[in-house]
Amino acid sequence: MSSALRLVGVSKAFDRGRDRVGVLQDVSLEVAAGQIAAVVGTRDQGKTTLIRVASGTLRVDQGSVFVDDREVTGMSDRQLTEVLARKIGIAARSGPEARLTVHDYVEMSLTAARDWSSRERRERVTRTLREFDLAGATGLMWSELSNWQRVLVEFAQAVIVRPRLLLIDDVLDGLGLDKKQTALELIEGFAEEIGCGVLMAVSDHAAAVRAGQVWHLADGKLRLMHKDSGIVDLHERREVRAAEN
Amino acid sequence: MAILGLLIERPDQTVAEVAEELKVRFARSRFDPATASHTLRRMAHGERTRPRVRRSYESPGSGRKLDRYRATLAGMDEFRSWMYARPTGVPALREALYGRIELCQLEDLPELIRIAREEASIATDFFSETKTRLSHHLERNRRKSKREEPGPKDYLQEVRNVLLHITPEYWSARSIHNEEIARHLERVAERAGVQFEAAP
Repeated sequence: MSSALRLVGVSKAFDRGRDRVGVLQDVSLEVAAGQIAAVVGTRDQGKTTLIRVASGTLRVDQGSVFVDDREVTGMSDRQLTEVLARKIGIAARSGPEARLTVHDYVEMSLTAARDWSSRERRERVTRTLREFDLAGATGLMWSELSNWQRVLVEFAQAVIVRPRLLLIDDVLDGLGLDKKQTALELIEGFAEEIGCGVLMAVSDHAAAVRAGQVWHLADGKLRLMHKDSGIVDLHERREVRAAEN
Repeated sequence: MAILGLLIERPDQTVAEVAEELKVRFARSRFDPATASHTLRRMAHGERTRPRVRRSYESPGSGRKLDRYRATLAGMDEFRSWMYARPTGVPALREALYGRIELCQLEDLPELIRIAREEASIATDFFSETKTRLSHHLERNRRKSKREEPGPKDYLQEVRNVLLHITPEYWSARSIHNEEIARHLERVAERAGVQFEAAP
Protein backbone atom coordinates (compact mmCIF):
# COMPACT_ATOMS: atom_id res chain seq x y z
CA MET A 1 0.00 0.00 0.00
CA SER A 2 1.41 3.39 -0.93
CA SER A 3 2.23 5.96 1.66
CA ALA A 4 0.38 9.29 1.58
CA LEU A 5 2.60 10.89 4.21
CA ARG A 6 5.83 9.88 5.87
CA LEU A 7 7.71 11.93 8.43
CA VAL A 8 11.13 10.62 9.36
CA GLY A 9 12.96 12.02 12.37
CA VAL A 10 11.50 15.49 11.92
CA SER A 11 12.56 18.28 14.27
CA LYS A 12 11.52 21.90 14.22
CA ALA A 13 12.40 24.66 16.66
CA PHE A 14 11.46 28.33 16.88
CA ASP A 15 13.19 31.29 18.47
CA ARG A 16 11.28 32.58 21.46
CA GLY A 17 13.10 35.52 22.94
CA ARG A 18 16.62 34.38 23.68
CA ASP A 19 15.66 30.70 23.74
CA ARG A 20 15.25 28.25 20.93
CA VAL A 21 12.22 26.06 21.68
CA GLY A 22 11.90 22.60 20.11
CA VAL A 23 8.28 22.28 18.99
CA LEU A 24 8.80 18.97 17.19
CA GLN A 25 11.54 16.63 18.32
CA ASP A 26 12.51 13.62 16.25
CA VAL A 27 8.95 13.00 15.10
CA SER A 28 8.23 10.05 12.83
CA LEU A 29 4.90 8.78 11.53
CA GLU A 30 3.42 7.27 8.43
CA VAL A 31 -0.09 7.52 7.03
CA ALA A 32 -0.94 5.10 4.24
CA ALA A 33 -3.34 5.95 1.45
CA GLY A 34 -6.92 5.42 2.63
CA GLN A 35 -6.02 5.65 6.32
CA ILE A 36 -6.81 8.23 8.96
CA ALA A 37 -4.36 9.31 11.66
CA ALA A 38 -5.23 11.71 14.46
CA VAL A 39 -2.82 13.72 16.57
CA VAL A 40 -4.34 14.77 19.87
CA GLY A 41 -2.90 17.49 22.02
CA THR A 42 -3.79 20.51 24.04
CA ARG A 43 -3.26 23.99 22.66
CA ASP A 44 0.28 25.20 21.92
CA GLN A 45 1.74 21.71 21.75
CA GLY A 46 2.76 21.99 18.10
CA LYS A 47 -0.19 20.41 16.28
CA THR A 48 -0.42 23.21 13.73
CA THR A 49 3.35 23.12 13.29
CA LEU A 50 3.08 19.41 12.56
CA ILE A 51 0.37 20.03 9.96
CA ARG A 52 2.43 22.80 8.32
CA VAL A 53 5.51 20.59 8.29
CA ALA A 54 3.48 17.75 6.73
CA SER A 55 2.27 20.13 4.02
CA GLY A 56 5.82 21.20 3.23
CA THR A 57 4.95 24.85 3.83
CA LEU A 58 7.18 24.94 6.89
CA ARG A 59 10.76 23.83 6.38
CA VAL A 60 12.11 21.38 8.94
CA ASP A 61 15.38 21.78 10.83
CA GLN A 62 16.07 18.07 10.64
CA GLY A 63 14.53 14.96 9.12
CA SER A 64 12.56 14.26 5.97
CA VAL A 65 8.98 14.67 4.80
CA PHE A 66 7.55 12.47 2.05
CA VAL A 67 4.18 13.14 0.40
CA ASP A 68 2.83 10.43 -1.87
CA ASP A 69 6.22 8.75 -1.64
CA ARG A 70 8.09 11.85 -2.91
CA GLU A 71 10.44 13.70 -0.64
CA VAL A 72 9.33 17.31 -0.33
CA THR A 73 11.99 18.37 2.16
CA GLY A 74 14.51 19.64 -0.35
CA MET A 75 12.09 20.79 -3.06
CA SER A 76 12.25 24.22 -4.65
CA ASP A 77 9.35 26.58 -4.03
CA ARG A 78 8.04 25.93 -7.54
CA GLN A 79 8.08 22.15 -7.08
CA LEU A 80 6.49 22.51 -3.69
CA THR A 81 3.69 24.71 -5.05
CA GLU A 82 3.00 21.99 -7.59
CA VAL A 83 2.77 19.30 -4.91
CA LEU A 84 0.60 21.53 -2.73
CA ALA A 85 -1.79 22.22 -5.57
CA ARG A 86 -2.20 18.66 -6.82
CA LYS A 87 -1.43 16.31 -3.99
CA ILE A 88 -2.37 18.02 -0.74
CA GLY A 89 -5.67 19.34 0.58
CA ILE A 90 -5.63 21.44 3.73
CA ALA A 91 -8.68 22.18 5.86
CA ALA A 92 -8.04 24.71 8.63
CA ARG A 93 -10.18 26.89 10.86
CA SER A 94 -8.89 30.16 9.55
CA GLY A 95 -10.61 30.19 6.14
CA PRO A 96 -9.39 32.21 3.14
CA GLU A 97 -6.75 34.87 3.64
CA ALA A 98 -8.40 37.22 1.15
CA ARG A 99 -12.05 38.37 1.04
CA LEU A 100 -13.58 35.77 -1.24
CA THR A 101 -17.00 34.28 -1.85
CA VAL A 102 -17.42 30.60 -1.09
CA HIS A 103 -17.40 29.84 -4.82
CA ASP A 104 -14.17 31.77 -5.46
CA TYR A 105 -12.47 30.26 -2.43
CA VAL A 106 -13.24 26.70 -3.51
CA GLU A 107 -12.32 27.49 -7.11
CA MET A 108 -8.94 28.79 -5.97
CA SER A 109 -7.83 25.22 -5.21
CA LEU A 110 -8.57 24.22 -8.81
CA THR A 111 -6.94 27.32 -10.24
CA ALA A 112 -3.73 26.48 -8.43
CA ALA A 113 -3.66 23.01 -9.98
CA ARG A 114 -4.02 24.52 -13.51
CA ASP A 115 -5.57 21.36 -14.93
CA TRP A 116 -8.97 22.71 -15.84
CA SER A 117 -10.44 25.38 -18.10
CA SER A 118 -12.43 28.14 -16.43
CA ARG A 119 -15.71 26.52 -17.56
CA GLU A 120 -14.67 23.14 -16.18
CA ARG A 121 -13.64 24.79 -12.95
CA ARG A 122 -16.99 26.56 -12.57
CA GLU A 123 -18.92 23.36 -13.23
CA ARG A 124 -16.78 21.37 -10.87
CA VAL A 125 -17.12 23.92 -8.08
CA THR A 126 -20.89 24.12 -8.54
CA ARG A 127 -21.16 20.33 -8.40
CA THR A 128 -18.92 20.08 -5.35
CA LEU A 129 -20.80 22.79 -3.46
CA ARG A 130 -24.06 20.98 -4.23
CA GLU A 131 -22.59 17.71 -2.90
CA PHE A 132 -21.62 19.49 0.31
CA ASP A 133 -25.09 21.00 0.63
CA LEU A 134 -23.65 24.47 0.09
CA ALA A 135 -25.51 25.41 -3.08
CA GLY A 136 -27.28 28.22 -1.22
CA ALA A 137 -24.02 29.61 0.15
CA THR A 138 -22.11 30.03 -3.12
CA GLY A 139 -22.12 33.83 -3.08
CA LEU A 140 -21.60 34.26 0.67
CA MET A 141 -18.45 35.56 2.30
CA TRP A 142 -16.62 33.64 5.04
CA SER A 143 -17.90 35.99 7.75
CA GLU A 144 -21.49 35.28 6.71
CA LEU A 145 -21.20 31.52 7.19
CA SER A 146 -22.24 29.46 10.20
CA ASN A 147 -19.56 27.37 11.93
CA TRP A 148 -20.86 24.23 10.28
CA GLN A 149 -20.91 25.84 6.83
CA ARG A 150 -17.29 26.91 7.36
CA VAL A 151 -16.34 23.30 8.11
CA LEU A 152 -18.09 22.16 4.93
CA VAL A 153 -16.44 24.89 2.85
CA GLU A 154 -13.04 23.94 4.24
CA PHE A 155 -13.66 20.29 3.33
CA ALA A 156 -14.94 21.26 -0.12
CA GLN A 157 -11.90 23.35 -1.04
CA ALA A 158 -9.56 20.74 0.42
CA VAL A 159 -10.90 17.70 -1.44
CA ILE A 160 -11.99 19.23 -4.75
CA VAL A 161 -8.64 18.33 -6.34
CA ARG A 162 -8.94 14.77 -4.96
CA PRO A 163 -5.67 15.03 -3.02
CA ARG A 164 -3.42 12.13 -2.02
CA LEU A 165 -3.03 13.69 1.41
CA LEU A 166 -5.67 15.53 3.38
CA LEU A 167 -4.50 17.60 6.34
CA ILE A 168 -7.11 18.79 8.84
CA ASP A 169 -6.15 21.30 11.51
CA ASP A 170 -8.54 21.51 14.46
CA VAL A 171 -11.56 22.01 12.20
CA LEU A 172 -13.84 19.81 14.31
CA ASP A 173 -13.30 21.50 17.64
CA GLY A 174 -16.31 23.24 19.06
CA LEU A 175 -18.83 21.34 16.94
CA GLY A 176 -21.84 19.76 18.62
CA LEU A 177 -22.09 15.97 18.92
CA ASP A 178 -24.23 15.41 15.81
CA LYS A 179 -22.22 17.71 13.58
CA LYS A 180 -19.00 16.16 14.80
CA GLN A 181 -20.27 12.68 13.93
CA THR A 182 -21.31 13.91 10.48
CA ALA A 183 -17.92 15.55 9.96
CA LEU A 184 -16.15 12.32 10.97
CA GLU A 185 -18.30 10.32 8.57
CA LEU A 186 -17.40 12.79 5.82
CA ILE A 187 -13.69 12.38 6.59
CA GLU A 188 -14.05 8.60 6.49
CA GLY A 189 -15.84 9.06 3.18
CA PHE A 190 -12.91 11.08 1.76
CA ALA A 191 -10.42 8.38 2.76
CA GLU A 192 -12.67 5.70 1.33
CA GLU A 193 -13.79 7.34 -1.90
CA ILE A 194 -10.72 9.38 -2.83
CA GLY A 195 -8.25 7.00 -1.24
CA CYS A 196 -6.30 9.83 0.37
CA GLY A 197 -4.41 9.52 3.60
CA VAL A 198 -5.75 11.83 6.31
CA LEU A 199 -3.78 13.45 9.10
CA MET A 200 -5.92 15.45 11.48
CA ALA A 201 -4.84 17.53 14.44
CA VAL A 202 -7.49 17.61 17.14
CA SER A 203 -7.89 18.91 20.67
CA ASP A 204 -11.09 16.95 21.03
CA HIS A 205 -10.82 13.28 21.97
CA ALA A 206 -14.13 12.39 20.33
CA ALA A 207 -12.62 13.32 16.98
CA ALA A 208 -9.73 10.93 17.47
CA VAL A 209 -11.86 7.94 18.26
CA ARG A 210 -12.60 7.14 14.61
CA ALA A 211 -8.99 7.34 13.41
CA GLY A 212 -6.96 4.23 12.62
CA GLN A 213 -3.90 5.69 14.32
CA VAL A 214 -4.04 7.95 17.34
CA TRP A 215 -1.01 9.89 18.55
CA HIS A 216 -0.54 12.21 21.49
CA LEU A 217 1.70 15.23 20.89
CA ALA A 218 3.25 16.86 23.94
CA ASP A 219 6.57 18.58 24.53
CA GLY A 220 7.41 18.09 20.88
CA LYS A 221 7.22 14.31 21.07
CA LEU A 222 4.70 11.94 19.58
CA ARG A 223 3.39 9.04 21.66
CA LEU A 224 1.43 6.32 19.88
CA MET A 225 -1.83 5.66 21.69
CA HIS A 226 -3.49 3.31 19.25
CA LYS A 227 -3.02 1.66 15.90
CA ASP A 228 -5.76 -0.40 14.27
CA SER A 229 -4.62 -3.90 13.56
CA GLY A 230 -5.57 -3.80 9.91
CA ILE A 231 -9.33 -3.91 10.27
CA VAL A 232 -10.09 -0.46 8.93
CA ASP A 233 -8.37 0.37 5.73
CA LEU A 234 -11.03 2.52 4.16
CA HIS A 235 -9.66 2.49 0.64
CA GLU A 236 -9.24 -1.26 0.70
CA ARG A 237 -12.77 -1.61 2.04
CA ARG A 238 -14.07 0.36 -0.91
CA GLU A 239 -12.24 -1.92 -3.32
CA VAL A 240 -13.58 -5.03 -1.55
CA ARG A 241 -17.08 -3.63 -1.70
CA ALA A 242 -16.73 -2.80 -5.38
CA ALA A 243 -15.53 -6.35 -6.05
CA GLU A 244 -18.47 -7.79 -4.09
CA ASN A 245 -20.94 -5.76 -6.14
CA MET B 1 -5.46 8.02 53.96
CA ALA B 2 -5.86 11.77 53.56
CA ILE B 3 -6.21 12.11 57.33
CA LEU B 4 -3.04 10.09 57.96
CA GLY B 5 -1.21 12.22 55.42
CA LEU B 6 -2.37 15.41 57.08
CA LEU B 7 -1.21 14.22 60.49
CA ILE B 8 2.20 13.18 59.11
CA GLU B 9 2.52 16.54 57.42
CA ARG B 10 1.55 18.44 60.58
CA PRO B 11 1.38 16.29 63.73
CA ASP B 12 -0.64 17.14 66.85
CA GLN B 13 -3.84 18.41 65.27
CA THR B 14 -7.29 18.46 66.82
CA VAL B 15 -10.33 16.87 65.17
CA ALA B 16 -11.59 20.33 64.15
CA GLU B 17 -8.27 21.24 62.55
CA VAL B 18 -8.13 18.00 60.57
CA ALA B 19 -11.77 18.47 59.49
CA GLU B 20 -10.98 21.99 58.27
CA GLU B 21 -7.91 20.78 56.31
CA LEU B 22 -10.02 18.05 54.70
CA LYS B 23 -12.64 20.59 53.73
CA VAL B 24 -10.17 23.03 52.21
CA ARG B 25 -7.58 20.77 50.59
CA PHE B 26 -9.82 17.92 49.49
CA ALA B 27 -12.83 19.99 48.51
CA ARG B 28 -13.43 17.82 45.42
CA SER B 29 -13.88 14.72 47.60
CA ARG B 30 -16.66 16.37 49.63
CA PHE B 31 -15.88 14.54 52.88
CA ASP B 32 -18.69 14.31 55.38
CA PRO B 33 -18.12 16.83 58.25
CA ALA B 34 -18.01 13.94 60.75
CA THR B 35 -15.35 12.01 58.78
CA ALA B 36 -12.39 13.44 60.70
CA SER B 37 -13.89 12.65 64.07
CA HIS B 38 -15.02 9.09 63.16
CA THR B 39 -11.85 8.18 61.32
CA LEU B 40 -9.48 9.48 64.00
CA ARG B 41 -11.36 7.56 66.66
CA ARG B 42 -11.34 4.37 64.56
CA MET B 43 -7.65 4.68 63.72
CA ALA B 44 -6.72 5.37 67.33
CA HIS B 45 -8.66 2.31 68.46
CA GLY B 46 -6.96 0.12 65.91
CA GLU B 47 -9.62 -2.66 65.81
CA ARG B 48 -8.05 -5.39 63.63
CA THR B 49 -4.82 -3.55 62.89
CA ARG B 50 -2.35 -1.72 65.06
CA PRO B 51 -3.43 1.81 65.96
CA ARG B 52 -2.45 4.16 63.16
CA VAL B 53 -2.87 7.35 65.21
CA ARG B 54 -2.48 8.09 68.88
CA ARG B 55 -3.51 10.94 71.11
CA SER B 56 -0.49 13.14 71.69
CA TYR B 57 -2.42 15.34 74.10
CA GLU B 58 -5.48 14.41 76.12
CA SER B 59 -7.64 17.28 77.19
CA PRO B 60 -8.87 17.22 80.77
CA GLY B 61 -12.49 16.36 81.52
CA SER B 62 -14.99 14.49 79.37
CA GLY B 63 -14.91 16.83 76.34
CA ARG B 64 -12.47 15.45 73.75
CA LYS B 65 -12.49 18.44 71.44
CA LEU B 66 -9.05 19.64 72.45
CA ASP B 67 -7.42 16.21 72.11
CA ARG B 68 -4.56 16.23 69.65
CA TYR B 69 -3.50 13.38 67.35
CA ARG B 70 -0.40 12.24 65.52
CA ALA B 71 0.39 9.25 63.30
CA THR B 72 1.98 6.14 64.82
CA LEU B 73 4.81 4.24 63.08
CA ALA B 74 2.20 1.79 61.77
CA GLY B 75 0.21 4.73 60.39
CA MET B 76 3.29 6.14 58.68
CA ASP B 77 4.06 2.73 57.13
CA GLU B 78 0.51 2.41 55.87
CA PHE B 79 0.59 5.90 54.39
CA ARG B 80 3.87 5.23 52.59
CA SER B 81 2.56 1.96 51.11
CA TRP B 82 -0.45 3.85 49.80
CA MET B 83 1.62 6.72 48.47
CA TYR B 84 3.90 4.36 46.52
CA ALA B 85 1.31 1.76 45.53
CA ARG B 86 1.71 0.83 41.89
CA PRO B 87 -1.48 1.09 39.85
CA THR B 88 -2.82 -2.29 38.82
CA GLY B 89 -5.50 -3.35 36.32
CA VAL B 90 -8.10 -0.64 36.36
CA PRO B 91 -6.44 2.61 37.44
CA ALA B 92 -7.26 3.73 40.93
CA LEU B 93 -9.75 6.54 41.29
CA ARG B 94 -8.37 9.71 39.82
CA GLU B 95 -8.91 11.33 43.20
CA ALA B 96 -6.36 8.93 44.66
CA LEU B 97 -3.68 10.46 42.43
CA TYR B 98 -4.90 13.93 43.35
CA GLY B 99 -4.69 12.96 47.03
CA ARG B 100 -1.12 11.74 46.59
CA ILE B 101 -0.17 14.99 44.89
CA GLU B 102 -1.75 17.01 47.68
CA LEU B 103 0.15 15.10 50.35
CA CYS B 104 3.46 14.35 48.67
CA GLN B 105 6.83 15.66 49.75
CA LEU B 106 9.64 16.47 47.33
CA GLU B 107 11.29 13.09 47.93
CA ASP B 108 8.06 11.38 46.84
CA LEU B 109 8.14 13.06 43.41
CA PRO B 110 10.04 10.34 41.46
CA GLU B 111 7.57 7.69 42.61
CA LEU B 112 4.60 9.94 41.92
CA ILE B 113 5.85 10.65 38.40
CA ARG B 114 6.19 6.93 37.80
CA ILE B 115 2.67 6.27 39.11
CA ALA B 116 1.14 9.01 36.93
CA ARG B 117 2.93 7.55 33.88
CA GLU B 118 1.80 4.02 34.70
CA GLU B 119 -1.78 5.20 35.09
CA ALA B 120 -1.48 6.97 31.74
CA SER B 121 -0.16 3.81 30.17
CA ILE B 122 -2.98 1.69 31.61
CA ALA B 123 -5.53 4.24 30.39
CA THR B 124 -3.92 4.13 26.93
CA ASP B 125 -4.31 0.33 26.86
CA PHE B 126 -7.97 0.70 27.82
CA PHE B 127 -8.39 3.36 25.12
CA SER B 128 -6.88 1.10 22.49
CA GLU B 129 -9.00 -1.86 23.57
CA THR B 130 -12.30 0.05 23.68
CA LYS B 131 -11.51 1.85 20.44
CA THR B 132 -10.84 -1.46 18.68
CA ARG B 133 -14.17 -2.75 19.99
CA LEU B 134 -15.90 0.38 18.65
CA SER B 135 -14.18 0.05 15.26
CA HIS B 136 -15.35 -3.58 14.99
CA HIS B 137 -18.86 -2.51 15.92
CA LEU B 138 -18.93 0.29 13.32
CA GLU B 139 -17.54 -2.04 10.69
CA ARG B 140 -20.23 -4.66 11.45
CA ASN B 141 -22.92 -1.97 11.23
CA ARG B 142 -21.69 -0.86 7.84
CA ARG B 143 -22.00 -4.37 6.49
CA LYS B 144 -25.56 -4.73 7.74
CA SER B 145 -28.31 -4.25 5.21
CA LYS B 146 -29.75 -0.78 5.48
CA ARG B 147 -32.96 -1.64 3.70
CA GLU B 148 -35.03 -2.43 6.76
CA GLU B 149 -36.54 0.35 8.84
CA PRO B 150 -35.17 0.27 12.41
CA GLY B 151 -37.59 -0.93 15.08
CA PRO B 152 -37.76 -0.74 18.91
CA LYS B 153 -35.30 -3.63 19.18
CA ASP B 154 -32.74 -1.71 17.13
CA TYR B 155 -33.19 1.43 19.21
CA LEU B 156 -32.78 -0.58 22.38
CA GLN B 157 -29.58 -1.99 20.95
CA GLU B 158 -28.47 1.58 20.28
CA VAL B 159 -29.06 2.40 23.94
CA ARG B 160 -26.87 -0.57 24.91
CA ASN B 161 -24.20 0.72 22.55
CA VAL B 162 -24.00 4.23 23.98
CA LEU B 163 -21.09 3.31 26.25
CA LEU B 164 -19.33 1.63 23.38
CA HIS B 165 -19.15 5.02 21.67
CA ILE B 166 -18.33 7.13 24.71
CA THR B 167 -15.82 4.96 26.59
CA PRO B 168 -12.82 5.27 24.23
CA GLU B 169 -13.11 9.04 24.46
CA TYR B 170 -13.04 8.81 28.26
CA TRP B 171 -9.89 6.67 28.33
CA SER B 172 -8.15 8.82 25.74
CA ALA B 173 -8.83 11.91 27.80
CA ARG B 174 -7.71 10.18 30.96
CA SER B 175 -4.50 8.90 29.41
CA ILE B 176 -3.55 12.37 28.23
CA HIS B 177 -4.64 13.89 31.53
CA ASN B 178 -2.28 11.59 33.47
CA GLU B 179 0.53 12.24 31.00
CA GLU B 180 0.06 15.95 31.55
CA ILE B 181 0.21 15.45 35.32
CA ALA B 182 3.45 13.48 34.93
CA ARG B 183 4.96 16.17 32.71
CA HIS B 184 4.10 18.94 35.15
CA LEU B 185 5.54 16.94 38.05
CA GLU B 186 8.70 16.33 36.02
CA ARG B 187 9.12 20.04 35.44
CA VAL B 188 8.84 20.72 39.16
CA ALA B 189 11.28 17.89 39.92
CA GLU B 190 13.78 19.29 37.40
CA ARG B 191 13.61 22.75 38.92
CA ALA B 192 13.88 21.34 42.44
CA GLY B 193 16.87 19.22 41.49
CA VAL B 194 15.06 15.97 42.31
CA GLN B 195 16.33 12.98 40.28
CA PHE B 196 13.64 10.95 38.52
CA GLU B 197 13.42 8.29 35.85
CA ALA B 198 12.82 9.92 32.47
CA ALA B 199 9.91 8.78 30.34
CA PRO B 200 10.83 6.04 27.87
